[in-house]
Amino acid sequence: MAILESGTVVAVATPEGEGGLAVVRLSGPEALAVARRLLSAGALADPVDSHRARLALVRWPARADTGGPEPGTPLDQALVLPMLAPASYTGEDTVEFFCHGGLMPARQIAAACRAAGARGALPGEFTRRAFLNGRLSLVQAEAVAELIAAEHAAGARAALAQLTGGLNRQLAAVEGPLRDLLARIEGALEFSEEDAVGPSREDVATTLRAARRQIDDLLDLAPAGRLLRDGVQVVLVGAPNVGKSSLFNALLGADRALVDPEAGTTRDVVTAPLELDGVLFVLHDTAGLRDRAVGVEAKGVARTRETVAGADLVLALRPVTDRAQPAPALGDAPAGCPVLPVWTKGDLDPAATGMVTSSRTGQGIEALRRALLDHARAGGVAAAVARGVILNQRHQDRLLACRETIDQLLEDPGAGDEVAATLLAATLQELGAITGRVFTEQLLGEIFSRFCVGK
Amino acid sequence: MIVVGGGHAGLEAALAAARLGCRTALVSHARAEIGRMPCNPAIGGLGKGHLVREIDVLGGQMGLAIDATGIQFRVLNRRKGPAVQAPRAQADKARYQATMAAAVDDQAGLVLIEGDATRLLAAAPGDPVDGVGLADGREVRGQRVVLCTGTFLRGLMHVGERRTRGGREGAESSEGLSGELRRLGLELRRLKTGTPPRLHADSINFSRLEPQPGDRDPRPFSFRTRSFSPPDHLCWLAYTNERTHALIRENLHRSPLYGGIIEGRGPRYCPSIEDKVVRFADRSRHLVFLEPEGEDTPEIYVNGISTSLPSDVQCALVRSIEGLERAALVRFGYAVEYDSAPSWQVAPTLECRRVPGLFLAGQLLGTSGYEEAAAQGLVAGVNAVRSLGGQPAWIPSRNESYLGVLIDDLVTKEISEPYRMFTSRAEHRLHLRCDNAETRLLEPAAQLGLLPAGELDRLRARDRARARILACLSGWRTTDPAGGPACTAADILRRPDIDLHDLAEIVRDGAGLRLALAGIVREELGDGSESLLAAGLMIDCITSIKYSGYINRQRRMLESQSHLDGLAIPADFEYRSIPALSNEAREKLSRMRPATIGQAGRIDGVRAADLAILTVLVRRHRDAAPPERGAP
Ligand SMILES: Cc1cc2nc3c(=O)[nH]c(=O)nc-3n(C[C@H](O)[C@H](O)[C@H](O)COP(=O)(O)OP(=O)(O)OC[C@H]3O[C@@H](n4cnc5c(N)ncnc54)[C@H](O)[C@@H]3O)c2cc1C
Ligand SMILES: Nc1nc2c(ncn2[C@@H]2O[C@H](COP(=O)(O)OP(=O)(O)OP(=O)(O)O)[C@@H](O)[C@H]2O)c(=O)[nH]1
Ligand SMILES: [Mg+2]
Repeated sequence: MAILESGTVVAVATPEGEGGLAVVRLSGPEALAVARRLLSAGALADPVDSHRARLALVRWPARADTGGPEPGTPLDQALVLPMLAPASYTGEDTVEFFCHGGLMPARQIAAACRAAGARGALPGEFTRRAFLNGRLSLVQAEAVAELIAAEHAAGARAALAQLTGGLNRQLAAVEGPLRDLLARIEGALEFSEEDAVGPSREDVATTLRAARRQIDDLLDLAPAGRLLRDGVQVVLVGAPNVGKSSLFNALLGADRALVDPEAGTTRDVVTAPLELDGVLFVLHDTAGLRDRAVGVEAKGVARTRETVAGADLVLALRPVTDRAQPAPALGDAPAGCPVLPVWTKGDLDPAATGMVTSSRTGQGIEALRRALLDHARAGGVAAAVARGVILNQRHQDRLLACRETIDQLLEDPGAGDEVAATLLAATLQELGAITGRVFTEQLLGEIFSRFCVGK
Repeated sequence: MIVVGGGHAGLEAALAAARLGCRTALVSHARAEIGRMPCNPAIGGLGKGHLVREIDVLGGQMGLAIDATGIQFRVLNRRKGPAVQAPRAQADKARYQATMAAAVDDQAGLVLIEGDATRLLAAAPGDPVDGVGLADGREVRGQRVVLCTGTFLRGLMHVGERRTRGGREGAESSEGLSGELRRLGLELRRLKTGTPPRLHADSINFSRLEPQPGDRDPRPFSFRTRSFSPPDHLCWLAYTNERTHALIRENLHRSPLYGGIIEGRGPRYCPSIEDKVVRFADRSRHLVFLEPEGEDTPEIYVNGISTSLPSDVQCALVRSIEGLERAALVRFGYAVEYDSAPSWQVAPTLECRRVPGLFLAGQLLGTSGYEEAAAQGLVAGVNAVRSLGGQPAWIPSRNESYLGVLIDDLVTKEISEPYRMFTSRAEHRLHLRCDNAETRLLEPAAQLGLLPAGELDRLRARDRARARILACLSGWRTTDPAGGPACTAADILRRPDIDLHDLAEIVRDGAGLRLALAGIVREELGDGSESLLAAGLMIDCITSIKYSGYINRQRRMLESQSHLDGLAIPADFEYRSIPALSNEAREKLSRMRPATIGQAGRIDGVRAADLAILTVLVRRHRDAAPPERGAP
């Protein structure tokens, strides 16, 4: 892995697929020079006023190295923000372009920068540079990665809390008593001749059990961490024509899926994000389940089953007009995955009771949204946000390893004090590696591998 | 080569150098002082006993000397796990010194020069050191100099308000060398240590004390000791009491430590009785051990009341102890302050970074203890010779030996008190045991070449036997007495509280297993006089099996760390030009110049983020470096 590259690099720094403002980041020793080639003389005149944005017309450079548009072609009216080293994200001279026109002009500006001498940034390169220039600690770097992954408010809040030490605090609470215990055991081992008495088996077991409970508590937040990062996966299933696509659209408040009186309209899974109260949901509209499906429809049904297998919550839809209809068969839902029965087309039977919705009148849609949120909270999302802890796979693996060691010590009567002390010390080392107090090289790779392009 | 100082460090350094074929001069004050134990009449203990076992396997002298002169042998922590058991022996001090002096006399290629070294010679300022000058004007020339001057540099002894110059009781201090070291750019720092009073045996009422005998089946330190039936003299336990403590409190102002006269830092783990009473005010008594200083001397060492209080207070406090009411003090306790060279100034070879050709070892480098000193002497002596012959340095590693832990700690830790070995300093403690020192260090021993060829052959035979025994145990199929599925003898050994005797009772054809194991030992080691080595070997095998699960588990957990020890930092790496490092890290790294990322990580004040940055930059440095052009 070539971790470090030199030169001046450029990339679009806002996530793909996001509307609104797009940012192009240009960073490196030549950043100012490259930017000047795209701007009218004087727009970035020396001495450059750092951290003051100015509106400027960005053009294709006059003497571009390679093809592209005519030299001097206007690209976008952008806010140009120069930031001089070391007071920038990367710690290098940086120029950021805020394009009003969204992604297309942003890409063009990045291309123009490349034509003017910059190089496209490699994945994670800005963050790596920031890191190498001492602008980010390891934990911060990781939290930034979380932040980038969490494009919605709740995830971002938890990631931000992490940045300010949520996880560190929780781990410190686990470590403190273990460290204390270790010191007492060690004392008795080294100074047994001099009357030193170590903790009793009871003491040891009590402390270990308490630590284990705390680790369990933290691990309980792991699923919430995933929900926060990747969103709550909500899958709409039901017989053909029950109104799945209509409800999908109603929940989103936008027409994303095709609706038709014909049964079997939806043939493949349609997916769309929905943010409610800062929590990210990912809705999946599916092909209607029917027993005797053939051809394309059969494939659609197979895809439905796959989607159900990855669900955090299944909405099982039936129309109020046919209350005798059996609930959809959900053999593929993950064990423990909650299934919420939802009645559709409520407008056709005003007497219906239960979670009744109507995509036509909007009846029950708000209630269903609230039900989704309640579900997410039950999944620990609120607790994770409150405690400022998002566990990623690495955290989980290490915590599991620690728990395993503690279990081994609790269960193994043959493990003497010297074994307990040695394994405890190794466990504390592991815990330290979570917060980056203890450095492992893998950590570096793990963290950097999680940055997406240009961040 | 020249070794200055015939203490425990200097002896190992000089003997090792001469054994490696280097013409060696040992410059020391007086022949009669060689190998003297100025404090405890004992060798070994936790961590320390481990070191002696390692020194022995590598070809050092300490283990043989104590086996020959010990008057009581005990394995400490017998009731605890094997990793924290270690041998300890009471020494007959006078005989120990005589044995060491004889070893020096008998060693071909080694000459003893009596005198006080006061100067370090070099052709020109900045040139490698090439000799030492003595106080009487003589000059001794040599290409490498190993300084092992112990507590002697500007030594200052304190008994109450009375201060005298001296390296230790009855010995002149060494005043010249401190200035020389400073002139060469080394930083020195005051440390202090202390020793308790000695009593006359005839004045002690032993009937009021609790006797402490040695082990009934004493085990030697050295694998080279063939027949072993040492004497077993008693030690005694006594206790201080509230009266003792009150006395000390009343007289604290007369202690140079509390009066603020001593500026040097003493060790926390070896506190004076003043310290104990002040810091553990809630304890109503402290344990005191009475240890004989030898067979032919009435002197009794009082372990546990190291003090520098004035002599009248020392008398009163000793006599406040039950059984010691009429005790006669033949020597008073005292504290000694001395110059030491903080160890970050040496490379892992113990050569000074700033002064090529000059090696430091022992108490001078900030450690405390005979065993710690001897271990460094060996490392310094071996590396001084290897550097002469252009051989690669020998640097023991943390996962192979306590020697490795010691050396690594010395070059990475900012040591603010005399450094003493503890087993908890070794993260690979379950592997670094006394019982398997021969296994762990066979390879390095062969590489160093200090052992006589015959002894090395015995180690190789032992190793073959070990492999065969382990294979035999893990291949011995049997039924599970507890009713579980079929398993092997090794599986059963892994259970708690099962030893070899139980095993033979439990497994299928236990008698056959016994025979098979005995056969292996006989075939590889021969019988009769080899039984000591064989007994140790069986303990090693059983413990290895019992611990294997834990060791593997712990290895896995520490793997990522061990990996960092494989990432070398170029010797010329420039830390000052990396603004991203924290100030503290930058300062310490450029000063201590760690050899690997792993070492860098063990330096206090170097954070994980610093290490991460360092790792990336070291990689880049390596990738960008031009191909090796061969050594200059
Ligand atoms: C008062 C006192 C209390 C101690 N208490 C403890 C304790 O509680 N626990 C513990 O573990 N250890 C204790 N020790 C330390 C222990 O004695 C040393 O750690 C150990 O002896 C160090 O070995 P060394 O080889 O470094 O130096 P030393 O054993 O001190 O040997 C140094 C040798 O060098 C010679 N020498 C010095 N300078 C010169 C020179 N310029 N020219 C020629 N020869 C020179 C001296 O004559 C001496 O033979 C104590 C030591 C003293 C003096
Ligand atoms: N009255 C009424 N009709 C509805 C409602 N929701 C859906 N419909 C009608 O039901 C028919 C099927 O709707 P879809 O949303 O396409 O149903 P679907 O479950 O996605 O069908 P397939 O994709 O074919 O399985 C359409 O004609 C919709 O107009 C509703 O709330 N009230
Ligand atoms: Mg549909």
